[in-house]
Amino acid sequence: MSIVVEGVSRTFGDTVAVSQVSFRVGPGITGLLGHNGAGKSTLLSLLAGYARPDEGTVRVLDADPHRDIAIHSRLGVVPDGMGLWPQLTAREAVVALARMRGVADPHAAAAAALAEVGLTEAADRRLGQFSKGMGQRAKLAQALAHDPAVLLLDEPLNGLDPAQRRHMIDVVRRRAAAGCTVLVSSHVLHEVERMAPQVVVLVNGRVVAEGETVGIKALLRDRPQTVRVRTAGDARPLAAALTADPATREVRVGDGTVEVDTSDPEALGRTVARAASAAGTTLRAIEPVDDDLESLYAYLTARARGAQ
Amino acid sequence: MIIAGIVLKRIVRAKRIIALGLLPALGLLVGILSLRGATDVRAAYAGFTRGLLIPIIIALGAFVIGSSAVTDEREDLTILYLAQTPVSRLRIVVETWLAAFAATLMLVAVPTVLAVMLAGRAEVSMAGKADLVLAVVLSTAAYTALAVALGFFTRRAMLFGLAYVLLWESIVASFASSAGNFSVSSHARVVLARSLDVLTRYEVKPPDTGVVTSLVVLVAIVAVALALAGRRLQRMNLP
Repeated sequence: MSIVVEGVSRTFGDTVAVSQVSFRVGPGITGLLGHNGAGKSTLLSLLAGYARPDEGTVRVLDADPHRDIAIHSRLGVVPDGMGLWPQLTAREAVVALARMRGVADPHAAAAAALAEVGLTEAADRRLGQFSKGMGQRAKLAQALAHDPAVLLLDEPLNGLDPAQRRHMIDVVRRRAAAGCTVLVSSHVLHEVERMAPQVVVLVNGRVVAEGETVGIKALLRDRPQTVRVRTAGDARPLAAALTADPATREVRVGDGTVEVDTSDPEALGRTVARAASAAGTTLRAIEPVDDDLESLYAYLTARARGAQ
Repeated sequence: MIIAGIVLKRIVRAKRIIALGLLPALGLLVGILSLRGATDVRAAYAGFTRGLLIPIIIALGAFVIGSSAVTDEREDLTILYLAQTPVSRLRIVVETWLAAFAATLMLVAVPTVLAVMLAGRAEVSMAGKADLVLAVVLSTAAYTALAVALGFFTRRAMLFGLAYVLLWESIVASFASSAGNFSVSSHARVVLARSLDVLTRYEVKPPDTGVVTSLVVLVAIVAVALALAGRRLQRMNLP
């Protein structure tokens, strides 16, 4: 395994950033999914060697990334937020870092990496003049120029427009297909889903789920959910019809709305149409009430604790 | 020297460089005025170099440049990119110091020293000028090393550095001989005293350490400060 995290805990004062986290990552792309403040960046900073865990061990390519600094010639990191030196051009920054990482021809490597992320034309502009998206691509270029065996990407799609996102995902996929181990963090489920066949889900500093992304997605899809149905007139006939549905747990009627707690949201979608037709009710909208990340993570947390 | 190049570019392109330009300008003005109006040019020259040039002008310039060279990297988190390389932490510190040292020499020390030398050229021997260059180079090296080291220990390095310069180097160590053994400027004064043994009214005798000892102390300050900073960077959790 390229990345091994065993029993890792890290605190900042009274705040527990990660607690007893363990997982292993091999070649290919693995997503690190979690809400803001879940501990993703802390975990990536431990893997990048910026800090040491208070407890447990972190190994990257069988080395301690904090102590064994030689590992950085085989490790590429795109940290979240912080940019490269604004006084340098993109080319100067990528060449300098490639040289420090022992690349034989840093100029050629930098040119190739900048071309790979689509920054050839802007390569000789100062980084201080870059947009956020361009800066993000420059950060990726510096992480690719030395052809690393492991890539750590912290929210790499932040600040990118849809076309740039697709390009970034393609670059990461190509690297993974060539044998690179990629660990990419995100708080957006569908971003991870597009990139990573494997996922580790962090909630409040703990791993609450890990495995194939499709499996986690199915788990989330099948969880109990609340769906709000908006109607044009009186919602009571529809509410009565929905009460009979076997997947329905509870129904609440409001002014032109019905809220249904269901264990099968997809089946409910089909049932609502039939029930509305039978009750002579005009539907205006069907929308999930708790289809946000917090509720997904709350569900996974509860499930990890055996509550559901 | 890749890191030194990056840090040097950052130093010379920072906006504070304009404010820093006031230091040599002030030095030039005070130096030239004190030398031109003096009845004893040699004593005025010695007093200016020992009392103002080294413990205030160069020390202030070194602490502003040296501490910001580190704190800018830490605050912008660009230090994380340096930490992502297989370069030893001590080398990161040493190259950062080299950049700060070179910038302080170029921007503060050289213009001031050249002007003062020209103003006092008739009365000061070549040996005196050589000692001045030696004392300025070594004290610049020591002050920038202390500033860089301080930058790795605290984010308020510039504040603490300026307090140290204004309270200890320019006041306590200049007027209390017992404190002289523990200040950069006092050991620089020992080097200068070799050829400029004229004391001004307010000066105390430099520490009785001998020139070689003072030279060794100044070099040791550089080595110890950089070694401590390297150790600190190796152990610290970033950012």
